[in-house]
Amino acid sequence: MMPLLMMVLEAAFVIAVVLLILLAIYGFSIKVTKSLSRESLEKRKPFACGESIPPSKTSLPDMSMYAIVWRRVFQSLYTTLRDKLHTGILSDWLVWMFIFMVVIVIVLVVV
Amino acid sequence: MIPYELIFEVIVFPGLIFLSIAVWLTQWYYRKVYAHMQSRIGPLHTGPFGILQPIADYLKLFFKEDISTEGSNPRLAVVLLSTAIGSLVALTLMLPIAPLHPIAASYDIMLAMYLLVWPTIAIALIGILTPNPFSTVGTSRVFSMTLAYEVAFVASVLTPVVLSSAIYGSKYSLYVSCFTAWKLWLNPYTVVPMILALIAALLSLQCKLFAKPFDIPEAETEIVAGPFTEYSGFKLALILGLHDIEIVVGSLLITMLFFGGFIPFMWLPWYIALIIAAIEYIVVVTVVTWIRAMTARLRIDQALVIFWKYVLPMAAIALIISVIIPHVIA
Repeated sequence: MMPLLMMVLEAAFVIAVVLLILLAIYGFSIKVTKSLSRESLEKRKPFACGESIPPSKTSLPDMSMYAIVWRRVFQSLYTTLRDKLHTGILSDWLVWMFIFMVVIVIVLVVV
Repeated sequence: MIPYELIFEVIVFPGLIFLSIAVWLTQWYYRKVYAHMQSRIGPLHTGPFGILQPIADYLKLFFKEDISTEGSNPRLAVVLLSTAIGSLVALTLMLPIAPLHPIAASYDIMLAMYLLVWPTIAIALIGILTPNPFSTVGTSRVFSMTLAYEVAFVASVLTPVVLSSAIYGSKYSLYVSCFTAWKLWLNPYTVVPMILALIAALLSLQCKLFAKPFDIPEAETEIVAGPFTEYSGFKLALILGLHDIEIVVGSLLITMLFFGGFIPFMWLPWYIALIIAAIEYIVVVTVVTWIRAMTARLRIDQALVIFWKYVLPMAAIALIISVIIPHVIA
């Protein structure tokens, strides 16, 4: 068996060879299909639900990438915690903050 | 020094040409089986029994116009997809089917894990590269699904490697583990973690391939084609190629790592050993197709809950047992 670093380099070499071959085929494909295609600005516009929309309005904030996980899977946990933590009573909030501080102190002492 | 043997393996066997032939035959097989399971005929007219249909589909995409949407980055998409295909080719060279110059070292399982994640990263990133709400929602779903299945897949693949390293001294090498891991089925102490890991690996592979019931990121009735919505022509061919190569390499990995492929039958004539290995591979592909045919699409929260409640604990238990068992045997 070869050294680990040599193996990583060989894997990188494999990826580079495949990348070059596929890029060459892509270049050839573009050359072939360009002669068959007709220029049109319409087909390059982004559409959603039948409406043309500007590209800037099609993206999602990066914070929303895992929104499904928080909103759907942990919904019940979030609702339970929200109801317990946000009662609107100041002394409840102080109790939770005190518990939170105690946990931090314990973690710092143990670590 | 130019590594000619490595270049031969990358281009011919078990690299691009072999994988292309495997993709062609595997795609034809699973389309036929999938169709018969749904009381359809499947590919029929192109070639005998429709065997040339996958080639016709790829050729059609090759000659179709490559439309790039405004604000997209088509060249980067091709680079990402090609890199992902390259990572799968590199992973194939780490299996014992590489005849001349296998890529193997102690602890090479770490590199294998890294290479296995690349196709998912590529699919997620090409979704972001196109300005389309469906692509963005699909990408968000890919990211969320990754949290569910990647850990389970890694844990399930690690189980036979950890066990064979502890018992047979394969030094956490994927290549060497393929030679020894099949013996774990003969040991009563290691059968249970192997069964758990195999089930988790098959379900995680299903999710990794976005096959039913986990085809949530490309749910065509909701979000057209998810991250692939704006892709056409050669780029779509690359996406489908990546998906099909993932089926081939994933099934090969499970065949070689869990069942040893041709290795347990090396005492038989070589062609019989190869036929048995091919049958093992076909069984794995059939199981994946069978799950795909008999289930309907889940909602994303259902899929995540299934993985976190059942599949991930199953894979984690298998891995924990595989760490403890060698000490018990010793």
